[in-house]
Amino acid sequence: MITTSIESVPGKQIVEHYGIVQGSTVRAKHAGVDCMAGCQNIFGGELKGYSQLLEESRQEAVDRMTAQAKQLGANAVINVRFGTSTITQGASEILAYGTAVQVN
Amino acid sequence: MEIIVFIVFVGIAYVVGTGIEKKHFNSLKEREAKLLSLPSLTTKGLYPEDQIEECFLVTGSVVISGDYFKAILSGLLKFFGGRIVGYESLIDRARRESIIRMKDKAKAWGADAIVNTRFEMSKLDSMTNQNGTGMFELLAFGTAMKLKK
Amino acid sequence: MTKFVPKEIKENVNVVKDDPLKVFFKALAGLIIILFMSFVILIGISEIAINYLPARINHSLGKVYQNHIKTPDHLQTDREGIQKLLDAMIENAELKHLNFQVEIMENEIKNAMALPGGYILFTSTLLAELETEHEVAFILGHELAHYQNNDHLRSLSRSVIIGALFGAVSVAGVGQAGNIAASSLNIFGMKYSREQEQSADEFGMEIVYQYYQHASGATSALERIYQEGEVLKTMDGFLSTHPITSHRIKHLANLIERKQYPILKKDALIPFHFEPSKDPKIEHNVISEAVD
Repeated sequence: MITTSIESVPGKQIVEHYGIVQGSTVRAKHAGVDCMAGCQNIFGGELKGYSQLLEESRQEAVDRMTAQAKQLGANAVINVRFGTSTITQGASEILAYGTAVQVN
Repeated sequence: MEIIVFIVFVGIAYVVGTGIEKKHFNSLKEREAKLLSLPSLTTKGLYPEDQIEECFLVTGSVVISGDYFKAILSGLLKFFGGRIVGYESLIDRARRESIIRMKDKAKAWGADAIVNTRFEMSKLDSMTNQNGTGMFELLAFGTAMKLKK
Repeated sequence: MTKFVPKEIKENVNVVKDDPLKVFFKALAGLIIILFMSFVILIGISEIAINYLPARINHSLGKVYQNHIKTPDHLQTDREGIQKLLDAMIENAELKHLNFQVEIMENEIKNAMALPGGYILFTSTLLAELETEHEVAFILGHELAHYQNNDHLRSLSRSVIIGALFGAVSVAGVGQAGNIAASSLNIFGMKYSREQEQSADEFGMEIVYQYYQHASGATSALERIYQEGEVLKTMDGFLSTHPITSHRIKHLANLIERKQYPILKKDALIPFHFEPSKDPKIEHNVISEAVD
């Protein structure tokens, strides 16, 4: 499944389009990581636990989006955008959305 | 004693909340089917500019809140990590609702397609209140277009 | 212009099909299991640590009470009598060496307590209820058992551990469910407390047997204390620190039968006469004569 964040798939022709597809997931890291992040807040720098969490969530959101696109019979998703927000302290939601198209 | 009150609250919240959610999902399915003819896209290039007659910015938004059972469940699941089951369905149905509202407005205006749609979400209650159920506003906005016949 | 093909998305990928109720119960059970295991491990560590603690700690704990407990003057003779009995029993049983001190307090509640530092406290109403010397001996033995088993330190460490686990759960941000799960630890704490009381009962009875060569007074002392108004019959003693008195009596009776300790006939028992009067010219009660 091809995904791009531009309006087209370079080198290919868009034949049909099916509308918006979206994939979202809400995830949290376990309590130990929360504690470590709290400590690291004091010293600054990258919060490795949370970076990993959001990385996994983003991958899952993109997977769900492409799964929805597959259901519609598409083979590419163009103009993909992301959105992140906090649900509760320590749990965040990642959204990935794009337009499902068929290219040849 | 407090345990009994807690269990009663959680039970009521679970029963009522799941009922509301099921009804909402069914209604979403119906309305989405009706609005299927009006596409909403994130691109704008699929409709070349010489084909466009008129443009109009449309938005659809909804404010949603979880029930007490979801709040308790999310607290427990946060301890172990992984997927927060309750809030996934909540945010998903809110987003679909906002898309439907946006499409309704576009259809009322007479649009043929909605291009360049984007989503925004924000949390309306305070982050420091850990025991709260959480209020979220989901916004979907895009450009509705009338195509030349 | 590209063609639009409207298609319906049949399966919603953004929602998992797990039943949230099942997920809830699994998560709650997991949390309670984790709390329980940490509780057991911490209690185990504290039990080992307590065995190595010096007796100085008990003494320093006792200094808190020193100035607050003073037997009123008109009860001093009774106090001395009971003190003599206590010292004789300790001598006979070769127990730990603490400076045990008996004090009597005037109070409407029938109670006897062992306070850290070697204080054994009786209330005047309790002494009024007791009829034989053997019953007083049993209560003294029960309190001595608490010292022997370091029960004060164990109760203290238990409350500290439960408080720490409660605090850990709050900091972890679990919310209401965490508070409920941590409160369930209290139930385990109560069970430990009841076990402590039960073993103190047994120990007390052993001391009485060692001193008198019979076990009279053990069950009758318990009967006297709680005859009027048992508080927690409804919950079957689930949440109380002491076992239900009828259970305690039954347990001791079974033990007496199993070990075949003799029980004296009613007229062979040594009576104990306590008059909680305000008259300073109180007569010597029988107990001091019996010990001499």
